[in-house]
Amino acid sequence: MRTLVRASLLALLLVVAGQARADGLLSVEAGSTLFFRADPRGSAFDFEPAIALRVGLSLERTFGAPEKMLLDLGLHWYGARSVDGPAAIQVRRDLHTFALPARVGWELGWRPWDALILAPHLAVGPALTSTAVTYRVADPVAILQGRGASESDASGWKAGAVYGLGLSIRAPVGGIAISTRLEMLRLHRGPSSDLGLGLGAGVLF
Amino acid sequence: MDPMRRRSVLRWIAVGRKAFALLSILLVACAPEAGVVDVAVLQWDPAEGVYDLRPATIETLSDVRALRGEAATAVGDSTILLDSGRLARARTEDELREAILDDPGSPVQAEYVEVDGVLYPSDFHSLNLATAYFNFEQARFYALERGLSPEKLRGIRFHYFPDVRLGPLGSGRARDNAAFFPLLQSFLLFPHDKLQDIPLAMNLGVVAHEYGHALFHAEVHEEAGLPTYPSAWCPGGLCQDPRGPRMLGILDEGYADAWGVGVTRDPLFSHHSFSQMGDARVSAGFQLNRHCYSQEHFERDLRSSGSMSPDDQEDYWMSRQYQVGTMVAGALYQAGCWQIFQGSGSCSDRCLGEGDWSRYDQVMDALFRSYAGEDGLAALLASDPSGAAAGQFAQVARTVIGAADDAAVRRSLCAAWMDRLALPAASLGGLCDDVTPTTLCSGPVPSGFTGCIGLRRGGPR
Repeated sequence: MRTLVRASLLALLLVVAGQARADGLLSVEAGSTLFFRADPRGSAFDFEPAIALRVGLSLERTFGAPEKMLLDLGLHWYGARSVDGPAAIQVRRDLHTFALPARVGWELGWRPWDALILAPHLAVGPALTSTAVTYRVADPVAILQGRGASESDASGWKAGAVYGLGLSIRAPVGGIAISTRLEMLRLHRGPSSDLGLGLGAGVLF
Repeated sequence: MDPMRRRSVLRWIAVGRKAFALLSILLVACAPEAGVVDVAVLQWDPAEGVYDLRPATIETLSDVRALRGEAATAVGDSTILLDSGRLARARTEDELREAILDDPGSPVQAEYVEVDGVLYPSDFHSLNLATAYFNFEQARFYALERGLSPEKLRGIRFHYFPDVRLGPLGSGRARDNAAFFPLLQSFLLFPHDKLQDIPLAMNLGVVAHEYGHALFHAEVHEEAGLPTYPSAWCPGGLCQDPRGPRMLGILDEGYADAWGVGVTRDPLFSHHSFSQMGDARVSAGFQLNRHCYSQEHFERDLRSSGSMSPDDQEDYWMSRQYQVGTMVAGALYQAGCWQIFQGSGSCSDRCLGEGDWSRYDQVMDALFRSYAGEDGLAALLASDPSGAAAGQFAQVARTVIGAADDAAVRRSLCAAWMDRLALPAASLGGLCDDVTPTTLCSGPVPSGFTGCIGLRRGGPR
């Protein structure tokens, strides 16, 4: 089943890539983000690697923005899973964050290579995070008594916001455009904000 | 700047401030409230005999995220350095404390998911912290019921997963343990490593055991960072009579086990976290080699360890005090939980099952009063110039038995202590003249006694 899903996603990406255009309105990017989260143990931060997807809609033409301006709206998804604890008590946390930041930026006149268009930008928008926690308790006394481990779970949604800055890198190659971004975001999805360093790459179509 | 543009900038600043204020209100509104809160924690379930995740009402938190409240205060990310060079340079108690606490740490930051008014910790450490606080609260409630002054041990710190470096070079990290550290007036809940059973911070009995040490320290040593008796009994580190210092180690551990049983109602509480240890630290049941001791045996132990090097002596008593402490806890358990019918050789083991724990609580009432009461242990230590008197089981037994304010409790204590410590009634100052001791240790175990020798396992208790 998992293989089927992966094959379908790959096929979808290939189809999307096949539709890619240098002046596309839509972009699809996959990437990863490393979040620096508040550490419950009290240290300055804890790492949380996340996978990320972004679907962007270009708004420059809609609003008649200047040619050099970057203006788009992106739907971001960040997914992260962590499992921690000794064998007798394992806590698994799944985080799914959906953010809808608008990006406003300006193309730089300077290009490291002619094909690369660099646009530093600011991003800001709302975010919604689902936290699902599963607790697996295997008390050794219960195991000795022939009982298995018990599992329970809890989940909830939290509204927040995302904001930050980044660098959009586009590279039109023939009829295709490669879209890349480097981002530094702060994500409010709990009692404290998480700093995220993200990297993504995809296509415009 | 022209007035129009200035007005525009000011308007944007005002809008920004309002937006920030609104965001702050929203974020504060999302933060869990303090006071009485329902939090899902790992709890001991007496009916099932195991630990499981269940909502609990925590009553004393002032900050649910920082796990700070009347019962305890969590401290994270601290560093404790036991470096002999630094310790040697310290001249005062404060300097010693500073030399040890290399980094005082910072507040912890537990996170939760709220479901139907119950806060569910959203990661392992948040669960471990919240459960630890709940356990400290349960231990404190039990101690308050026994007579602890509400001002004592209020908000006592517990260092969560401290970086404890051992040895002169700060090498080696302490793991898999929990402790009360009198000098810092704090508990230490170490990181787990090899221990993969129920974490010590989540084991109510283990936390109550450590709280028992803090109670002993608060009452017997009046919360002194460095108790005064070692300087009096052991000037220059050379003890005039080793019995006193060793006895204090034994009592500290044995009484702490008794608190663990009192709070959990589970004499097997250590099994959940030390499944490989077996019954070595179990106060319930009866085994001759585990539950019987005497002054003569104690002095024989001291003589045999006296020929060891000082380091080896410390190592020997570091483990021996737990073993003898289990015997002391066993005597208290017998006094509180066993109804022994002499002659018939039968017993009613009321506390292991769903029995009546009120007698055990009365025994713990007496134990608590024996710490700092008029004829209690603190008074005994203060009046003992060498440690010779404090090193007598008869003297110690008198402090506990004499603190019983109920005749039946007193007789139960007499019967158990006289038997398990081979104490003649004449040595107990007339407190036990009307009591015939049980004869578990002094005579053959009655054949019909097996009902409370074996510990119930293999099914729900």
